[in-house]
Amino acid sequence: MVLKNIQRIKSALPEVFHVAMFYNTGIIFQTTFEQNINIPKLGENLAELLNHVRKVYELCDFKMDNYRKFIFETDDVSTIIIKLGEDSNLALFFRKEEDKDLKLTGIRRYLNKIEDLIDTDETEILFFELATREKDLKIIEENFQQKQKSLTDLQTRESDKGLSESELGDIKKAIKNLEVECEQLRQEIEKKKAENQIIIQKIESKKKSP
Amino acid sequence: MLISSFIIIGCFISVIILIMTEKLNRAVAALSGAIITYFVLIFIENLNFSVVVDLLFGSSDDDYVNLHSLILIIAMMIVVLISNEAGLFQFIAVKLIILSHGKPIRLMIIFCVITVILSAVLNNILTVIILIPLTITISRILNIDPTPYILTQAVLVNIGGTIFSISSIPNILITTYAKISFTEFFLNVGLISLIIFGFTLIFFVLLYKNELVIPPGGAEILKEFDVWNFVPNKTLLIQTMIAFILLITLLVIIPPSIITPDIIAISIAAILIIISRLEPKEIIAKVDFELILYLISIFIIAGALEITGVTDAIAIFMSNLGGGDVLTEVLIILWISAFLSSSIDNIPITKVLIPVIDSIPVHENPQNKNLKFYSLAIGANWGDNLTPLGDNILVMNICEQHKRPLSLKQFFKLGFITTVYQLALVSLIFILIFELILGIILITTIFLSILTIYLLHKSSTKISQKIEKIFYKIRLYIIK
Repeated sequence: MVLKNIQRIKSALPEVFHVAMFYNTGIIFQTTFEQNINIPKLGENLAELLNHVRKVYELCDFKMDNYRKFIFETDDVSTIIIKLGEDSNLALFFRKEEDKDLKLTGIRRYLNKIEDLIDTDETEILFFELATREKDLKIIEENFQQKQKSLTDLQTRESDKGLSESELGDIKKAIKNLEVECEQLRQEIEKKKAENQIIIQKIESKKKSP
Repeated sequence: MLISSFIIIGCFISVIILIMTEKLNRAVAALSGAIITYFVLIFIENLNFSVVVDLLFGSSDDDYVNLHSLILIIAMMIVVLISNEAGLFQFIAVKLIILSHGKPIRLMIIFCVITVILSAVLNNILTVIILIPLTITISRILNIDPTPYILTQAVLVNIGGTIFSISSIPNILITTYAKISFTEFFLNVGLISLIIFGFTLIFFVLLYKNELVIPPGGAEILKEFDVWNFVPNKTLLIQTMIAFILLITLLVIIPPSIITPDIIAISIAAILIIISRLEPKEIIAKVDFELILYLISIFIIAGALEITGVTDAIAIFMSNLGGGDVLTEVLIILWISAFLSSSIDNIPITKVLIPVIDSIPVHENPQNKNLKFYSLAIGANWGDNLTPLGDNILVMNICEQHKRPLSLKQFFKLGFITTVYQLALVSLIFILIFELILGIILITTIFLSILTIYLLHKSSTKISQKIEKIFYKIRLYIIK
């Protein structure tokens, strides 16, 4: 899937002769470079490069919440590093044949696709956790509704005049147990809802922060 | 002698406090303590310089134990440095991770196994430096929360540290001093560690089984993760693999009485430097000289505690505490060393406790002395996880750097509970060794309790729900 997208990028931009997808840790996910190149070192140096630029920004007191791309041009090769996801980047190495502006907008959709494939940001994890919790909550709520229904049924039966003393005793005991269980479930639902609310707030605060 | 003892105890405690509070670099703190110790030994105790040399490297009486330890530590550092340059550890780790096929429980088991394998040959710091960024990267690909994987790795790093005699510095110090061979250590401590690892793994799987969910699709993308991207040079990778296999084989087959482990390791390290064609200056520059300086300074302070009679006093105290019973002494050593190394670096603790154990009078079988050393190795290595201090702070920092911060509370709860569980299991093994009947009674009681819970669980839906609820609450308390 990822390789397919690399191929598409290469066909959309024929000037690209090498691609390296790397994380800020220096780990390279995929690259078109051959094994005779020291790939771990390449990843390490690309990550360091971004880190150094970050440090330069800090030193100059420039704001750097999010970088978008880093361009480095020489006579023969141009390098563009594009930010993919929260922690991943794509380095495109261009053979410089003639002077022309590079149109990267055309490959943006491939980049978004790759980003989804290889990098999850924290908000996505929170979304995933929320979905799992909502599923759990739904099960508990269904359980609660079932118990409530059983409770109502028993309460109706309790008013039946034809019941014997022992039957009535059993029903009363069952009602008492169900009431306790319903109360526990209600508390659990409230607790879960409150916890989910915290996660929603976290997601919202993450969305607001750059 | 009394004044000297007090000064050196004060010196040792000050060094420990300085390291704990991070007021001074640990090597500089220990070196300062060693210099004060030198003045005490030369000017108050009127000893000559040869005593200091003996403390640094050992003497012919103790077979130059400290020098052997230092050579072994440096040799292992070189072998590990070159293997790391070759990408050996990342290569093995990613190869195994891909085998998980994106199945959550299998991934958790594989991560745990990798942690133990790596920490059996690497120090804890290097293991987490390699593994945690890798785990976070894998979690990004699989679209999962890395927290359960990182927490379990951080806890298991210490178990790997007791597999081999070369797995950690406390082991090297203990085995060199007590002349415990590589095979002997593995059979007595390594196997226990592997058994406890099995139990810990079951505990982790039961604890996290509901949390571990991997969204579909991730496994397919994981397959595209090119494992060769970690390898700068295939030849070097093969060379380091052969070197590691050769090292372990030689340590197993050659008795220390013929060639000591440090000489075997340094020979392999030298061969590896030559054949790797890496720049020797660069490799040597990467050797952790701060650790070496720290070690030799601790050698002097711990040796001075021995000369001034402090070690003997602690030994008598521990012996009295144990009431002459070997099992009690072994258990005291296990738990005391664990709790001490939870907040204090385990190197000085081990170095001070080694002569203490040696001085505890042997009442019965002299072989029991080695059991006390094994107990020390386990306690000193595993105790680290009782608090999120020490190496665990590094884990928290790495996670924060990679935008996946861990909760200190979560770390503390899991680390403490797991370590107590592991130490309790080891204690049970020691009880079985010394008091077979008591051990069998304890195991039967535990087994019957589990069986009762299981039968109750099966007996009725209502009880089953209650039991599940209790377990759910316990599980939630530990992991949240």
